[in-house]
Amino acid sequence: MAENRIRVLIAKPGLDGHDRGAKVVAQALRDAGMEVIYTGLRRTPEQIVSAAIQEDVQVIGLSSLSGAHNHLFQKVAGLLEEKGYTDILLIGGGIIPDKDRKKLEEMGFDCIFSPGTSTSKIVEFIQDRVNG
Amino acid sequence: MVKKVAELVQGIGEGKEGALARALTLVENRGSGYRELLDEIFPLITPCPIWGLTGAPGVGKSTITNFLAGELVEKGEKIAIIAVDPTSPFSGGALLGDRVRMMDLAGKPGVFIRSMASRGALGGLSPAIMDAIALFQAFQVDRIIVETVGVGQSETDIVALADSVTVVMMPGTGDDVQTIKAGLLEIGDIFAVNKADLEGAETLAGLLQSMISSRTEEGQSHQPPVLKMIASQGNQLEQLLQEFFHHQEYLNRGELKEKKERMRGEMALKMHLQARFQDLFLGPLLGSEEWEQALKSITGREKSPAYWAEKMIPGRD
Repeated sequence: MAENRIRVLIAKPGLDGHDRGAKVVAQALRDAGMEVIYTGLRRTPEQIVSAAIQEDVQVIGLSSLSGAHNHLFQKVAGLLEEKGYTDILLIGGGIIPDKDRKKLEEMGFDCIFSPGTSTSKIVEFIQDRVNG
Repeated sequence: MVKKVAELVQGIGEGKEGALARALTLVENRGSGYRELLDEIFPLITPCPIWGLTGAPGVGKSTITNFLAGELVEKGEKIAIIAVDPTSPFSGGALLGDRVRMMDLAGKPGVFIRSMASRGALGGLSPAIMDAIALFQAFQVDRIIVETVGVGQSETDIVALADSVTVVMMPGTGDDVQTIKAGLLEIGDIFAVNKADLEGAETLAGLLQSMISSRTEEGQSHQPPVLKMIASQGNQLEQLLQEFFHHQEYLNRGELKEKKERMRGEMALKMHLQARFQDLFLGPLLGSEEWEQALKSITGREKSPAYWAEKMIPGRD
């Protein structure tokens, strides 16, 4: 009897001390039946990718409110590609302007959620993409 | 052999983290080929010491693990950490947050951290933990640290699983009766009273000390030490590391090591038998015609659940 669970890594890259949003999302995903690994604050892209590989997650969610998202998010996407983990669903959220959002999505992010997104929308997005 | 399984076995043999991570998921999900995988890696296993840390949420287990693993890696060891957090019985989900306190280990070469949810195991440890240990030993790690939230059955399970167990406590969580009730005294090889700057630490440590002395039989060479510490400040952590080493030496001297090995084997065998029972007997029964018939009969007060259980799986007791 196989028992698959969606495993998600929620990570805070860079010098950014605000993780209320990351924790709200983490809890919503847990309540939707997923196993959520939270990295804690101030992780480097290398640390995040290493954790994602060890934990064998299907989804990585990055949160940034510091304004450094372009650099940090790109770095994570680049490292994943370099190591051959392009099958991982990559999502992001936080204070990210529209123009950056589009750029990140072109660059390999599956979705960048803007402030005000309901948690159920994030849950549905992940379930659709991982199971569907 | 399934191609996927063969690739994983080869990857583990070559020390590839990605292959190990995928293999861990396969045994956790009990996905197709997991028995084959465990069978194939069995000859690759090199036994290594297993250290356990248990205690209530928030007492400081992950902070302590962060230090222990950091020191051991400095000495050139390859370390595996299995951090277990509870699965929600309502949603089946889990928030695995032990990496938050292991900041010094993030991305460090030589450390493999795997967060595991307790999943379906009735208050105890997930059967997959035994299998994860086997995979890590096939990966040739030098030491495995298992961290579990000490609630209910998981405390007694960790004794069968780990060579040396440290019970982590903090002041302000109840009186001596609570401590006896929780059964913690029976499982600890080492006791750590963390957050020793809080009021009541002295009393708790004294209490533990006197309870341990009264339990220790005469001639028994290992009396569990009680350490007061402030893990977040690094206070007494080196001492704890030494106590783990002492306990290990003590195990190596006597026959206890073989006894532990036997206990572990027994527990793994029982867990796999239970899994087979689930797959072969319980699984096909659930929702079957006979199942519905039995439920109707039970709720209609015709025949008892005991009657039906024997009818479904006949044989002498």
